Parts: sequence; C-alpha cells; structure tokens
Amino acid sequence: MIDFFQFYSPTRIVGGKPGLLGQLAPELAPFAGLRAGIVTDPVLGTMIYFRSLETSLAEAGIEVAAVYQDVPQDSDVDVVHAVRDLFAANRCDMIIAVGGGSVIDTAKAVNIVMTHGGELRDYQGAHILTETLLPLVVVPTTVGTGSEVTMVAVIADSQDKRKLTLLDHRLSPTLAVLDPQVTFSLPPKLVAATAMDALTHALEAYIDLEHSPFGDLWAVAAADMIRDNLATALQPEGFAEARTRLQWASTMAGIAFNHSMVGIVHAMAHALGAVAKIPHGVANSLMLTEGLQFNSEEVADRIADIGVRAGFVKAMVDTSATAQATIAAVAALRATACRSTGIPETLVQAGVRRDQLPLLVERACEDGSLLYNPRQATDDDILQMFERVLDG
Amino acid sequence: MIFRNSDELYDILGTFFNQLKFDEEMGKQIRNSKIIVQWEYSDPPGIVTIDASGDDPDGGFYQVILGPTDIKPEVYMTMKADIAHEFWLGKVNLLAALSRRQIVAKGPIPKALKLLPAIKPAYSRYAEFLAERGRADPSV
Repeated sequence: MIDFFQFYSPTRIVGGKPGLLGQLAPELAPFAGLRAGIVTDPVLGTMIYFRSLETSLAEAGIEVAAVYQDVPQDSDVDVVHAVRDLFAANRCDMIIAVGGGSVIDTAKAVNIVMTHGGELRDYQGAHILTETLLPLVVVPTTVGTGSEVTMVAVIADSQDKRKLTLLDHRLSPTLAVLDPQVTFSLPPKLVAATAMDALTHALEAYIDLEHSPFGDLWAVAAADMIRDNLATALQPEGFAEARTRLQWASTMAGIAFNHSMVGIVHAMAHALGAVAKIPHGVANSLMLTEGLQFNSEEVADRIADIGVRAGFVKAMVDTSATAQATIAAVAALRATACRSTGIPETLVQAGVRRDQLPLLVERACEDGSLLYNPRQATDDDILQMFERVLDG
Repeated sequence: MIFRNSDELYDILGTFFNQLKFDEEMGKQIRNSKIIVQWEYSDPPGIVTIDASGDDPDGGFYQVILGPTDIKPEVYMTMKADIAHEFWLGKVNLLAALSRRQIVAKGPIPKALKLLPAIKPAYSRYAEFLAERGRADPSV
C-alpha cells in the first residue's frame, strides 16, 4: 500500500507549431509592464528564435532590462550571484530562462536570492522558502532537462565540488514554453544525450520509492515517446516531428520525477558532473543500465511493468525475465543513440580517470537522490558500477 | 501533545540522545559524519543539537546540547515534538514528511539523511526506553 502521495503541477505549459516563441504575446500578456531579466548561454543568445522571443516580449509590453548570456554547462553559485547582481542593478521583476537545465536551474536559484536576499548556500534544503518569487518564464532548448516543470534546482558549489540541492514548490516556473523550433538546430549528440537524460527521469521516477499512480502516467508516456522517436530524431533530416515529441516527452518526464524524484543513476551522474565535468545527459546515459540492473534485485516488478507499459518489451510469465528484457531493450536504445552520434559509451571515453573513482564514489554516496532509490547501495556497490562502465 | 511541556521533552528526548551517544555502532557512524544537526521543536517548544564535529566532554561519540546554543548547525530541522516522537518510534515516512512540510529541513539534507540506516536500531531502543520509564504509551 502506498503510504502517501500528492500530485501538484502548477506550471502552465504551452506548446504548438515551430515558431511559437514569435507568437507568444498572448501568453506573456499577464506580465505586461514588468522588467525582464533573461538568462541564457552564449550560443542560444544568438539564435533566431531568441530574437523572436524578444519580439513577443515587446508586443506584450515587457521590457528586457538585462540579459545574462554566460551560463556555463554546470552553473555554480558564483554565476547565480553574478546574475542576481546584474538583475538587481537593472530592477528586474520577472525572469526568463532560455536554455537547458543549467540555465533554467540558474534562473530558479537567482529567483531565490533576488526575493529572499543573502547567499544561495543559505537556501539548501526542502520547502524552506518563505517569500513569493518573481514570475519565471522558461523556454527549454534541449530534450532532456524537465526543469521547466519541476520544483528542484541543482547548482554546483565549485568550492568543494559538491552540488547544492534546492527544493521548494515555489520554484516551479510560472510558464513553460515548448517551441519545437528550438530543437531543430540541436546537434544530434545533444539530442541523444538529453533524450537519455529524459528517459532516465522517466524510468527512475517510475521505480523510485515515492512513485504513485499519478506520476506513473507521465513516466510511462514519456518513456514510450522517447523509445518510439529517438532513432528518427537523430537522423540528418525528417526529424521535426520526432524531436517535437522528444520535447514533449522531456517535459512529461519532468512532471513524473517532480513527484517521485530520481534515484541511484542520478546520484552517480551528479558525481560525474561535479568531479569530472561530464555533461549531465551523458552521465545518465553512461550509468542508466547499471542502475537499473542494481535495482532489478529489489524492484524487478516495477522495471518489468514500465518496460511493458512503455512498449520496450512484451510481458513474459516470469517478472524477472521481463525486467531483464526491459533493461536489455533500454541498453540497445542507448547503444543506438551512442553509436549514431558518438556520445561516450564508457567513463574513459568521457574523460574519467581511474584515480577519480574514490571521489566519485564519495560524492555519489552523499547524493540526495539515493534516498529515493528502492535499493540501498553501499560504497562498494557504487564503486562496482563505476568500475564496470569505466572502460567497457 | 505527547510531551506535556518543554521540561518533559528535554527529559525524554534529551536523556534518550544522551544514552545513544555511547552506543558503539550508531555513535561511531554519527561521529564519523562530523555532522552538526539541530532540531527545533514546537508544541511544546524545545531545541536539541547534536554536535559530532568534536569531542564530547562526557566521553560519548558526540555532544548533545539541550536548549538554545551558539553552535551553528549544518542541518537544521523544525517539526512538532509529536512528529519527533513518532520519528524515533520509526513511524514517520521521512520523505513524505518532508514533502508535506511536517518536517522542514535546511542545509545539506542528504548528509543528515545518509545516517538514517545507521540510526535504525534507535527506533526499537526508543520504544524500550519509554517502556523503562513507564511511558510505553506517552499519548495517554
């Protein structure tokens, strides 16, 4: 029997045909008269769709008061404080994020320090915010983060190579805009890595301790959509519909993991990001099947269940066999993604050194995601998983 | 309320924590974490701090401070005293309690929650402790 669950997804989600960002004035109208601070990265700020968004903002009566376009791959506390200073100096009273997970999480963190004061490190924790946050409009530009609909932000603290976790219902963005156009210019490598990130969100959300029937629906829909569309999305042409569906799936997976959180795969991926600077999607892709295999000893039924419901496998009489077939199907999908795009299949290929393993294990073991994992892991369990993926 | 007043809260929880700090298994793991955790209770009010960052003057594995202190905790949690009582009986789903704001936690929560497996034996010990003190059912 499930002990307790709740479903709460306050973010307004809008999507549609490619080019939606240029026709967004009606959705932006509630923010008329506000001064926007835009957070993005150096590449995205130059894209045509970014200009389209600026046009919509002007049409809606929103002034762009400041733009910060230097958010790195793994944003950290110093970046958050720099953006806060810029936006405060320009009296911004709404925030717009255009980018992947790092950009969106930076915007969420900036929202905290702008409205609550002090330093970001003061706000680590769960549901401790007390003030109303600024309106936050989010345009996800990858097919993996899910952060556009979650109450979570993860920001690196480069001082001690750890990640700060900020969790509060108030962090959920006000509006998420899914314009398929933003995915069309993504390099296939990024599509593959971020789609594997979204698949990890869906699978971990489904098998985690806090899963619920409501979250399950979103996890299944997301996993099914990714399975069905990933290969086509990686083709050199004819990918528009498939990438559009991956974008939806990413947001659906975000809704799923916003409720049941993630697990051991993310614990290891966060460590890989913090210690070895491995991009988050690549890190999840590297560790996904290891995490599923580890958990199959505890929750074979759940792995088998999502495998069948999301179309990875047909149900077999034996639950364990169905779970193993699901893991094999996920591994095959991952292999297709890796081999067609060149994203790493081993930790060594990703640039991890053997001498980094002890710190990787230490960081993974203290990651909050482990709390939601259905099977308790020891340091040695995690070391063995890293070892198996180290060099194939 | 499980505890009639703050004195009773400190008497029960304080004495219990001060016994636990000599436990070889749990105490060692808590000391190895070097963590400083503070719980602020309401109904009735009370503050309990566990400081595993240094030596305990009593020779335990960590120091227990009852009441306000200048020590700055790494992890700070607030909850009703009844929830704390239920927690030490092993009856609280911590993840759900955090989600429902029955427990509000500030700081690097994972560092504290990592100790959960280590302190599991404390749940039965708390029940035994209450029974020894004639408080098997403190809600009565």
